[in-house]
Amino acid sequence: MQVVFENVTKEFSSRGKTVKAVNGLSLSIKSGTLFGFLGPSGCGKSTSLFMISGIHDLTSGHILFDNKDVSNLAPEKRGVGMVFQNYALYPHLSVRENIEFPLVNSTILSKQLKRQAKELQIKFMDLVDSKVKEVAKVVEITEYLYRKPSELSGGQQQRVAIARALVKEPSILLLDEPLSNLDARLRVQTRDEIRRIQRETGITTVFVTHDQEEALNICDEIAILDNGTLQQVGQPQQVYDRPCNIFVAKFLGSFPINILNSSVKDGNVCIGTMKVGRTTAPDGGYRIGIRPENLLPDDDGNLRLTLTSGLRHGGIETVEGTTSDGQRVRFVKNPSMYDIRFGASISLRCKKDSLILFNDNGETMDQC
Amino acid sequence: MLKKRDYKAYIYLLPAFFLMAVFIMYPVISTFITSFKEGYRFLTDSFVRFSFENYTGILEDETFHRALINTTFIAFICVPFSMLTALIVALLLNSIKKLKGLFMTLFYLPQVTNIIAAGMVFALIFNNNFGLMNLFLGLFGVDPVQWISGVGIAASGELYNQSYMRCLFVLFVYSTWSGLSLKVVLFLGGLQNIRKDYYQVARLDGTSRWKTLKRITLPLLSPTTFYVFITAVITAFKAYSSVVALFTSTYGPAGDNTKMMITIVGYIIDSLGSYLTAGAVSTASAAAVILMTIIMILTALQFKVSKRWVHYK
Repeated sequence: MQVVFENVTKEFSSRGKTVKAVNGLSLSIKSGTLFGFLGPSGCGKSTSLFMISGIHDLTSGHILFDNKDVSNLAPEKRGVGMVFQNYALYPHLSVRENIEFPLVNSTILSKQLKRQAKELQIKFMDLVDSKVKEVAKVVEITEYLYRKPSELSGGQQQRVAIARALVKEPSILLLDEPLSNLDARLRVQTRDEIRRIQRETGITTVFVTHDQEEALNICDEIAILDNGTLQQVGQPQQVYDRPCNIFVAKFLGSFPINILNSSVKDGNVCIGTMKVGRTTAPDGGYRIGIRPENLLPDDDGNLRLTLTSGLRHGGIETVEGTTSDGQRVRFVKNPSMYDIRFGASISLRCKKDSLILFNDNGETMDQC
Repeated sequence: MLKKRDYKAYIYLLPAFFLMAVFIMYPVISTFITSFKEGYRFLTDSFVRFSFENYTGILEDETFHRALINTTFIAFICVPFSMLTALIVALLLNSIKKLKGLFMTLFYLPQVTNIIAAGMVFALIFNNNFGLMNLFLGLFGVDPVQWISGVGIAASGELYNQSYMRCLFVLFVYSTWSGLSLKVVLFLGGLQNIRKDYYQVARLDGTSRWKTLKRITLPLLSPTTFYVFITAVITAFKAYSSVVALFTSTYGPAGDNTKMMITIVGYIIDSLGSYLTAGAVSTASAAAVILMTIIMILTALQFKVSKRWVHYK
């Protein structure tokens, strides 16, 4: 199901103060894709998700499901399944009872299923049971069906929560920070699991995270929010390579992007006296962004650094150096490079099309 | 052998242990022994012999039967009703936003009111001649009810029973009201401990309010319910000041000399009051032992049954 935000604003007010959690959000989520809302804490990403579910109502604007306005539709009538950050599994019910909860207790759904069971001439509970088993198989928790949630690991609980959301056969699956409570290894595993389940079921999935790596890894498209305002939306690689502003550029990337002061003169981008690229932008002062992995050692390179320190990230090593005008630059060390001596000089060149020029407002002016 | 740091812990515990030994353990043991002393004289500390006479005497005493019935009435009629009322009030309080603080204060007021004073106010409310209850009923054309009245009951068993029923009703209203405040606060605390996202999930699933209450709220509230029930039943078995406040130290309406509304604790205190009489103190001891046994059996029973309906996280 396609989900469209049309100029959606959400305000929260408490004690006379009004806070705009989401401000004029407009975007479209394609049917059958995995879509990620990404941003720092308090950027409005969870609020956006809760507005899709209907738990939060809109202050203004519209949300459309397949061109049908659902802005004022009650949550239970929207047909969405949601997985909460803390999973919200009922602690007093077994895994099986948790998963069948929506089927048995939902007023609308249980009526539908009872009718269906009558047509198929089977018992209602048998139909429920087969549905529970089917979804348990998809998320691979069949062997834990009779355990209590407290007897499961975080990752298993997560999968039970997904199963409970999926058993209703929702048209949209919403995941609120689904991985934030898991340890690092499990996070990667569960991340792939979510991708697999999404592919297998083909369900439109919206996913909220503050972890850029997660979003870049599994999403078909991502939207980056800051302070309730949409910054950029697009395919992860495209957003990563071509950020629309300095916030997006800084927010994405496992190694923080280098932001340097530079000037443009006669089409040359200069850091100090070093000419590092050509641009069509008018003359003046700019900030430029260059990702550490886009700096390549090259004896003819124009960017000369005095090396100061190195940092290991497991198999990858980054090295920091300073330019002649004292700006610090970090780059990823090529595995074929010799060991580095601090205090020595190195020449680097920027990969083509990887130098991003930002104006005073932080907007991207040119990329070269 | 004790390790060195264990000694320290025991030394720290010693003062508390000493106080417990003097004021709790010794009295309990002493009471238990005294309860078997036949014809015990308190002043001379003398008795005829050890026997079950005190117990058989109590079990044949009609006043004790009354005490047992009245106490059971408070514990198993008033307490459940008071709990149900408290639960409903707490659920309502939990679902409102405006004026919540005001209502919480109002419901907590009985807790900070002196129980004797409040009881006397209730006695006035149910006053036969100028009570608010009769005034209120009068608005609907109901003749004044002799709520707390023992006129002519000595002569007629029927009148006695009618008077008893009315007194039970007054006691019922008073116990429900006075026990409400603490229960509401405890239930409210329990309700606020239930995470919000459980309700959000249930709402997304289209679970009706009634089913949400039945399948989520009540099970998750069960540890609180269990705690409230146990403490309330124990408190109910210790009821004394409420009946004295409502019915004075004769435990009944004016004109009654059967101690119609006496409780077990009332019975114990009455026996102790005539300590100069041979056997009075030992009778009180036996009644206290019976009370303790009842409370212990009930609590053990509750814990056993609770495993089936209390869900701890």
